[in-house]
Parts: sequence; C-alpha cells; structure tokens
Amino acid sequence: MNLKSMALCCGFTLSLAGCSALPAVTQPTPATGKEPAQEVAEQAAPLPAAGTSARSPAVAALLSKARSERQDGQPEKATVTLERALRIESRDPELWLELAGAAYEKEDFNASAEFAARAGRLAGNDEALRRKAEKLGRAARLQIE
Amino acid sequence: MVWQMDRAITKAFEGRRWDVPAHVYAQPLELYEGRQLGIGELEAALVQLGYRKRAKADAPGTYARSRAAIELMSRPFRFWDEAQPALDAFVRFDNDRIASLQNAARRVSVPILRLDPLLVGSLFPGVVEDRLVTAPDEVPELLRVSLLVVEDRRFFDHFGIDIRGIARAAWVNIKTGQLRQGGSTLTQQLVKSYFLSNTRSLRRKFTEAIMAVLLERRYGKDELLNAYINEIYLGQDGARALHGFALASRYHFGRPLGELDISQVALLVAMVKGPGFYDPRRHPGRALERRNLVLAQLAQAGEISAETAAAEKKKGLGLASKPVRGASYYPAFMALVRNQLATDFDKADLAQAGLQVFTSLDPLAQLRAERALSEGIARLEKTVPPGLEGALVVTSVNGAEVLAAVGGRDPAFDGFNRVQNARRPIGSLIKPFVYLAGIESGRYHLASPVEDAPVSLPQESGEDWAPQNYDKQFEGMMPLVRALAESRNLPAVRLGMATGVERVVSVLNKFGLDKNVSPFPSVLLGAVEMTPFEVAQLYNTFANNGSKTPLNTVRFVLDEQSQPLNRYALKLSQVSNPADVVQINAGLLTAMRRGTGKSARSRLPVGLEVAGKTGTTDDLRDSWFAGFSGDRLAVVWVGRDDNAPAGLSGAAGALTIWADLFARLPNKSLALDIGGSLRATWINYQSGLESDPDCGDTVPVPVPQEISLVAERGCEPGNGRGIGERALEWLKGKIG
Repeated sequence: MNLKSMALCCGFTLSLAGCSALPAVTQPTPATGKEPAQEVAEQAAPLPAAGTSARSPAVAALLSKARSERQDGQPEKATVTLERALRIESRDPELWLELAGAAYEKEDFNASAEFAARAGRLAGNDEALRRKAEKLGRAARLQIE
Repeated sequence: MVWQMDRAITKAFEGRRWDVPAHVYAQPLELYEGRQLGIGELEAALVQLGYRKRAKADAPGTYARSRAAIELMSRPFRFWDEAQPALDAFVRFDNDRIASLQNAARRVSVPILRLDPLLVGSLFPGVVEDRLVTAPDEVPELLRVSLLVVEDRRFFDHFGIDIRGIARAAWVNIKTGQLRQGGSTLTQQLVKSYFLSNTRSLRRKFTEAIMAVLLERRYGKDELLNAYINEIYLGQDGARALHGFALASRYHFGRPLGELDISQVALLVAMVKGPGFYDPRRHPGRALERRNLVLAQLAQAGEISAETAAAEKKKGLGLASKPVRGASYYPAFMALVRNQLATDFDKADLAQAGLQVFTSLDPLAQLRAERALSEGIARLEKTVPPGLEGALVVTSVNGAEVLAAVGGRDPAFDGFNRVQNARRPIGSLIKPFVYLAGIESGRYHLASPVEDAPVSLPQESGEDWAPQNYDKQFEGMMPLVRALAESRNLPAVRLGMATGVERVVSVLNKFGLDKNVSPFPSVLLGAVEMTPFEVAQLYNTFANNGSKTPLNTVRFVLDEQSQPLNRYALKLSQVSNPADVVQINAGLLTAMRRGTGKSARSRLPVGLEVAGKTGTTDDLRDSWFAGFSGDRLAVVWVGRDDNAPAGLSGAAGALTIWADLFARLPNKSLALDIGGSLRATWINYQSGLESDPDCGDTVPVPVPQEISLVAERGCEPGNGRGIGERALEWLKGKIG
C-alpha cells in the first residue's frame, strides 16, 4: 500500500466510525511522484492531525440530557452525564464547554478554567466555540483571583 | 486466662465480619451505534453477567442471538445517577461494530443503553486478603441445611460445644485408643480455622472449646453460621488457600453459589471433612463416594426426597473443565481499589454496611490484558530462560481511568502485585522527560541538532562516568526527533546536562511522580526506580498533552440506600505547555513508525497511529514499554523477581506484549493537536534540515511557528509548487 491509498484508507475508516474526516488542519497530503515502499510511506506519512468529527447519536443524546440537567439547576448530575459522554468521545469541544459551565455553576472555578481551556484547544476551526470557551475561562479565572 | 482468650477470639471474629460486604462493580458496558464491539464480545459479556440464552429475550437477564444480531432484555439496575428499568434492545452488528441499536419491541432507534455492571468482588475494611464473600441473604438455604445435617445437627441448641457429641467422640477414641473423632461443633471448627492449627492435642481442643463458648456468648447463631460459610478452609490452589464456599464454588464449578444444583452443594459440604483427602480433582472416586453419603444423609433427615437423592447421586461431579482462577477474580485491580478507598475514605465510612463501589474496571480489557501478558511471557520464554514475570496496567487516556491491571503472569494469583510493588529502574522511559525539559527551556525543538558523541562526566567517587549507546556506536549530529525515536543515550545525556538534571526531575514531579529523586546525571538514563503504576501516571500526562489527571479506579461509592457517599470527579491540571508536549508526542510517534518501536507495526492494525517508548536497563534486567493511542494507554514491564537479567530489551520483550494487547483492544488512532503555536513540516531525518517530503529521507515534525528552519539544499520545501498545486496533483494521482 502506498502513501496515497493509505491516506484514503484512513479517511474511509474514520467515516465508518461515524466521523467525517476533515482535511488535516496543518498540511495537505503531499503528491508523490514515485511509488515508495510501504515502510517509507509510513515513515514519511503526514502527522496524524486532529480533525473535528460529526457527533454520534449517543453523544448527542447525552449532551442534550446534560443541558437539561443544567437548566434544572443540577450541575452535578450534568457533570456525571458529561463525563459519561466524554468516555465515548473525548475530543468533542462542546462536551468540555458544557462541563466547564457545570463546574462554574458548582463554583469549582479551577476545574471550570481547565475544562474551558481544553474546549478552546479542541475547538479547531469553530471560532464561535473558541470565543465562548475563552470567555468562560476568563470568568472562572477572575473568580479564582 | 479466659479474658485473654475472649479478647483473642473476639478480635479474630471482628476482624472478619462478613455480614454485608461492600460490593465492587466493574464499569457498565455501554451499547451505542458505532461502538467498536463484535457480536462475540457482546455475547461473552452477557454470559459473564449471567444472562441466559433463549429463543427470545423475554425476561430480564436473557438474550437471543442470530448471525449478526443480539436481542436482549437488560436487568433493572440502580445506577448512581438514575434507576434504570429492564429494557429490551435489538443490537445489529457489522464488521465488529454496533451498526444499530433499537428498542426490540417497537424497532425505534435508542441512542445509548447501559447494561447492569458485573459484580467483581467484595471488600472488607481491615482485611488484607481478598475473598469472594457471601452475604447471609445470598447463601442458598440448601447449603445451610446440609451443613447442619452433616456437621452439627444440634447447632441451634448447643452453646458452642456439644456435650453429647463429645461424649460420643470420646467413646470412639477410647475404643480405638486414638484421637480419631472430634465431635467439633461448627463454632469450634470456626475457632480452629481462625487460628489455623491442625494439632490434635487435648489442650488445643480445650482452648478451642472455651473460645467457642465465648464466641457464642457474644454473637448470634446466624452470624456464626455465616462466618463459618465464609471462613472455612476448602482446599488449596497452589499457594492460595481457598477459604469459604463462594470461592470454592467459583473455583470448582465456575459458578456463583446461588446457581449450584443439589449434588454440587453436597460435594462442597462433603469436602469440609477433609479438603485435601476429598479433593474432587485429585481423588474423584473418594469425593463422589462422600458426596453421595451427604446426599443420603440429607434424604434421611428429610431435607430432600429419596427420589431426588437417587437422581442427584447419578450425576457426575459437575466440575468446571479446569479450575476457574481468572474471570471474576482480579487481585491486582482490587488492590488498586483498596488503595484508593483507603486514602480517600475514613475508616468509619468504609465500615458502613452495604457499600457499593463502582469502578472503572473494563472486564473485556482485563481479560485481554491477562491473556496478552501470560501468552506473551510464555512466548518470550522460548528464547530466554524460564522464570520471567511481568506486570501490565491499562488506562483510558482521557479521564485516566484504570481499565485493567495484571500483577503477574498468573493473573488470579493474589500474591506479589507487581503493578504497584515492582519498583524497577525505568531506563530509556526517562528520555521523553529529558527532552521535554530541554524543549521547555526554550533552547530546543524537534529539529534541533543534538550530538551523538562520547561524553564523560566526573562523579563524586572521583571516577568518570562514560555512558554508552545501546549499540556502542556514535552517529554524530542528528535532529532531536531522531535521537528520541532511536533512543540514543549520548544525546540525551548531553542535552540533559546542558538543561540541568533538576529540571528533568521537576518535569517528573509535575507530571505526577510523587517522590523525591536525587538529581544525579545517571537519572538521565533512567536510573530511577518506579512501579508500572507510576509510569502509567507519568505517560498519561504525555497522552493528555501535558494535562495531568490522577489515575483513578473508582467512579462512585454509594451507601446501602444507594445514596452517593463519594464521587471521583474528572480532575485535570495543565502542568506543561501543550505545544511542548505535542512535540514529544510526535517524537514518540516517530519512535513507533521508524524508531525503537517499529517492530510493533507488524502486530498492530494497519493505519493505527500510536506513540510509545521502550525502556531497557543494564544487562537486560528490565524490559519496559509505555505507549498510547488516541484513547488507551498501557505500560508493560517484563523481568525477573530476583532482579537477574531477563535477557530482553524493551523492544524484544515488553513491546511485543503491548502490541499484542493493542491489536486486540478497541482503539482510536492518536491525533496530534498541531495548531496555534506549532506548524507541521518535514525535515531530513539525518540532517534535521527542512525538506520537501518527497526528497530524501524525511520525517514530519511539528515545530514552533516562530522557528525558521534552514532548508536542505536541493530539497527545498514545495520545490516551487504551491500547496494547492500539490494537493491537486495528489488528487489526480488518486483518480488516475
């Protein structure tokens, strides 16, 4: 298998997993003028960069459960639900943002700031989400000081 | 004299109060569309949970299976966050994944379903060893009755000793001139078992009798009978003594006590008289004969009918095909649970009756980890002398939950638990910390040139320390990424000395090592001892890009009324700049693609990206590997308990076991968070100069945005072609 078919295969596997593979955030896959041996292809394959994924029904259901728990004034319950969702998908920035919000409501500002920072780092191209995370992180840090 | 005995026996009894133990559960299996889970795996999990297979799943705890689907009805269960009623579900599979999850009756999609969690054991405050223990309400009536009929008919009438029984025994003893019959009550047998003495002296018997009377004065008959059921010695499994009927049932029949049939209960009761003499595996004839005698006694006493007794006598011994040691017996994991509870709970809380402990144990991962370690060690022993041991710990990356822990090649042996107790030098596992300290200092990045050349350091002893590379060669200048991926010793020592050993030690401490390390230069090559558990903590912080989460085995503890007592919430603290840590992770990924971890490729699924590091110590004493994918991390140690050379490098030993395990675990590929302050580029693997990826021997690396790299002559990145042009060319190649 050469580099090109490997890259294609990776994308295919991802979409089977219910995630749509966005193009790598960093570098496009390069053209190869030759057919390198598999080993060389693996060695020089681009770095596996994080992409964003479509949300699975399970995670979507847990996220909406957590949101209504927060609305009902039960941030602790929401936290438990979000941790359950994060065990399924740990790279979904929305989950981290909700978790940061629930921690803020529990007045656990240290945790809130950490979770918000994680949300921001995973936000990728989602600028709106990144801004929300930064805002919440600032608010939490203000409370710490 | 008597008060001393009273104190001794009360202490023994109180130390092992079995009334209602804390139940320990594994994590519940979550079913949802897209989950990586084969149909065989779900069926195995259901069988382990004791679900019965039927033509149709029509009652809680039943399932039906077709070629590519399972229909099941879950058991109602009170989880920490909600009570879940019995739910029916129709699960379709495709290629070892759940293709769809529906409500069985209405065929409506269900987003997610939790199965009731597997009960994996019980915990007792103040008791060091771990046992399978039965609460009074779990003891089958037949067992209670049989014990009374066979061992002590007047149990509910006597006061600890049975005068009539003694008189009869004494008569037999006088007649034969030997001490042959005991006439011991259940209470006396219990006392005897607490003090583990087999001497048959009269003095001994006298003490036992007094203690039995003392015990009876303090405790009720039901309490005593239950203690007996949990305490009595029922045989030997190598070095492990089998105490209690629940454990004996699991060991001999592979089933919980409550599921035994009459002949099986009778066999266990038959063994009380002489567990070695009537061992059903070593002496099946004798055991069968005595079992049938017990059945006859039961019929005689009117506890079972004569017809039932006749039918049961015709049955074989009903033993499991081989003794069941593993499956529901996880000593290394349970030890972690006990540790965590002991540090976070005060004794009063733990002593409360009926606690429910919900852990992160993943039974499927545990089973695979056990197999990977024992099979791996057996395989390695084809090339090196026998006597190897090992330890393995598996965690999730996010949340840092311990999913599996194996304390030795015989996973069910509750002896030396190497996960927490094998303290060994970590060798090259230290290198990522050395290079991270360098990168954090701001003086290095992955493309920085480092020198693989001899180095000599004066020591306090006056002699010089001149470390060597593993291959005793010197390769000269190379980029940092290659020095890390190929685990060169001399560049690590040079860079570590330039950065300062204290800084390396401080990285260890902030990543989660909770002890003082003296900053000697030898630390740079891993002359620091750690347990596999400690290594897992440190590498977990790498896997989380410098965000530390304490390793966790317990999620929730509920009291008897299912009210939360304690919850271990997700905690994290960013202890290092993610951009610095991502560079190291890229180095560890390179180690797996083309460095010291390369040989794992053949064992791992194609396309699975992982990062990891081998560790080898002097004279090949310790073989280590620590590595992670996007969502799983495992640390493997292989060596010998007496610290003699194992004869294995990290790559030849621990790595093979790690790779076998990762090939069998559901895994997500590692993805590097390259954004913000990093950019990805290609450099020449030998020179470290920036290069077009297709020009020469190149390797992709993330480097800080602000760094401008010198280009390799003749291999300038892009070769004048724009990124868009290259992407287009790639696409054309794809179509063509």
